[in-house]
Amino acid sequence: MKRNALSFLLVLVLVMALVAPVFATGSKEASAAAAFDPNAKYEVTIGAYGDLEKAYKAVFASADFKAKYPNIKVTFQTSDFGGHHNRLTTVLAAKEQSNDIEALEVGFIAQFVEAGGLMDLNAAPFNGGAISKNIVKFAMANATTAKGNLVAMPVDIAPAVLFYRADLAAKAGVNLDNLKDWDEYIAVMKKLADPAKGIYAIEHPAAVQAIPLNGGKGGWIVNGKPLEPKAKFVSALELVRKVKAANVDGDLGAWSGPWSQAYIDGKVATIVNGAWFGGTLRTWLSPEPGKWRVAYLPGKMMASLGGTYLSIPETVPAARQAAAWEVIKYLTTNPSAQLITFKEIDAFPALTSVYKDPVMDEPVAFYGGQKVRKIFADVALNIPENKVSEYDNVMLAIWNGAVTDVVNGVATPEAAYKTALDKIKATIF
Amino acid sequence: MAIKIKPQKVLSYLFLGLMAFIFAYPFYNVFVLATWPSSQVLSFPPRFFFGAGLMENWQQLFARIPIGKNFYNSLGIALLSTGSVLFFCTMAGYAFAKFEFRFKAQLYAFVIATMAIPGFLNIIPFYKMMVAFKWVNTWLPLIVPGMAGAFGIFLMTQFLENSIPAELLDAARIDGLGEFGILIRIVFPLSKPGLAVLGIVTFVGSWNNFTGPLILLPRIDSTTLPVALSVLNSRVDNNLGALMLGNALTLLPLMLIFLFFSKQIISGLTAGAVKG
Repeated sequence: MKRNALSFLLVLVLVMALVAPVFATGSKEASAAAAFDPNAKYEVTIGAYGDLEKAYKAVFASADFKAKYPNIKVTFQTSDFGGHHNRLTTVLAAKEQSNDIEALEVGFIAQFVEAGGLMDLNAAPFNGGAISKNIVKFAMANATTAKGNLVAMPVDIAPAVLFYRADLAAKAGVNLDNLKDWDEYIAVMKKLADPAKGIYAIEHPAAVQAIPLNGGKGGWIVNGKPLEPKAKFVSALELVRKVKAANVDGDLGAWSGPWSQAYIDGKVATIVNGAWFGGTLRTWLSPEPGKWRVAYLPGKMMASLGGTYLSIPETVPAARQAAAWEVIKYLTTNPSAQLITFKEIDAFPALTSVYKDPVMDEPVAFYGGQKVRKIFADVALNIPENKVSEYDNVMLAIWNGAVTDVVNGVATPEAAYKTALDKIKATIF
Repeated sequence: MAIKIKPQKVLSYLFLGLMAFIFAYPFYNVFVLATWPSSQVLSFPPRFFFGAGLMENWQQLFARIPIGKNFYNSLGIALLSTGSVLFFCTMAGYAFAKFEFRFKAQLYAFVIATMAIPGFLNIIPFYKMMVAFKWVNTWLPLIVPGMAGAFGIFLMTQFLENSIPAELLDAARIDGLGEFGILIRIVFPLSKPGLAVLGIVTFVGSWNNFTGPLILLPRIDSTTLPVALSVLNSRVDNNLGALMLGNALTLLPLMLIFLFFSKQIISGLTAGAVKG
């Protein structure tokens, strides 16, 4: 028996010895990018999700891009939102070569900011800091590590606004354009909701919870303490409780059948969301022009509800990094590219110089001729900076549990806050 | 003579009918939604009858992804994967079920123990190995590592232990048949129910695999159906009709397989359930 065990151990050691070099060969050292040669031919690959490929293809088909970069050919690896970030997490963790450019949604940027694996775009030869003075500050801050490394460039952002149905507001005799605070919003919602006709003032009470917390993008840890200041977080839960108590919501789960049908039937009067949601309304949820308007959030609260960043993984060979950087520079700092992306998929520009473009002052037919882009731009310029951390996704998941408890009435805001804090401390600290 | 209908029988049929409807409806619904325009796929209450958007969805689907190539990739990988799993797992199962050799118990325990390791724990070292072998962007990593999977070996070992009498194998040996001949001429033909179960489980697993092709087949024209269809899942540019049509086309081969092999599958699943 002893001999058997020894033989088994020997086989195991042999197998380990055979497999070990395989793992050792995978990791590659980051190396400095070569200079971009405009006369050389490059093929740049972009890892993207959702609608990004459609928008960027339109950018690369533009005469301006073709004239500037006739020798760059761009190809895509696109998958759905979750699949893209799972693939990227695996590839970066394995320290193996990925696409030359990888897109990151703002909810994932924190995870990659401190985890490493992405090139510092502030360092030479990229010098991203020097060309980013016109990019919104909060988005730059989100992509910058504690040591000052810039791991990705913001390409679009999602200033949070209040979308509302003009016809339903007029019928109820309410004005949503200058709501002074959330209490006034709730009072207006009570007038908008008409349970007899199945008209809901808002899809779900949880839709408002993230707004006082900057859309849940950063700010979860302040000076090493989670969920601070307490009053801010408890008041966010209190807001959820008040909306639920007002009985004005449709209890509609986002992206479900009843949810989309309620919008298609014109039964949801308001929605708090990022600028990109206008694209969803315009293209399929509620395509009839003139029905919707945009207002500032109550109390002119400024928040972000989404956004995209572009990064270069460290495993990209030096010879390809220069071309990848040229493409990122074009997408993030060229006004024409930013406007094409906005036009194609309603992804709001992160480049502030675009906000002075005449197109931003144009009335938009879908919103009944309202100059909504001015509102988007004003919010974008005033979104506060919030420190992101690699634990943001975990904390958001725990926080959402607290919100659900308040919505379901199983916990008071104070008790739900305490439960969430205890769970966060037990999980992370 | 009046036919006497037992109330118990009526209730049984009603219950069975209801259960059949509950299980079949999601499949029916996929085919129904494939015929509705994208803007009406999420309608509530859900659509029950076929719509008029099939051609529009068809055009959108073929315009957005190379679905013919994706179908070929999915089918090729699933067939090769299934064929190789059936061959090697039966071979290993035969050895474990009918032979005595040194370290047999330890080796079998090791094989079974690998089933306890969650797949996602292996994903990073597995990916690194595939990169080192230069197998990324080929079908190989989705076929070769799973050729002798623990589940298949376990299933075939259990099946062969109970289904093929040792006397029959001894008779074949006395008649001069070699071990490989026994495997091919006796073991495989007598293992049809077990092979059908393992075959369908492997085929469905390979056909539905998302994470593997997502990471290992990065190009849209070299990847499989589930990954290619995920491209259509976006929030602003609504392609839900095309996505549903793609899902319906993806479901078809699985339904055909079950249709043709249902007898063997049921027989394999119930083998040993009734004491003979």
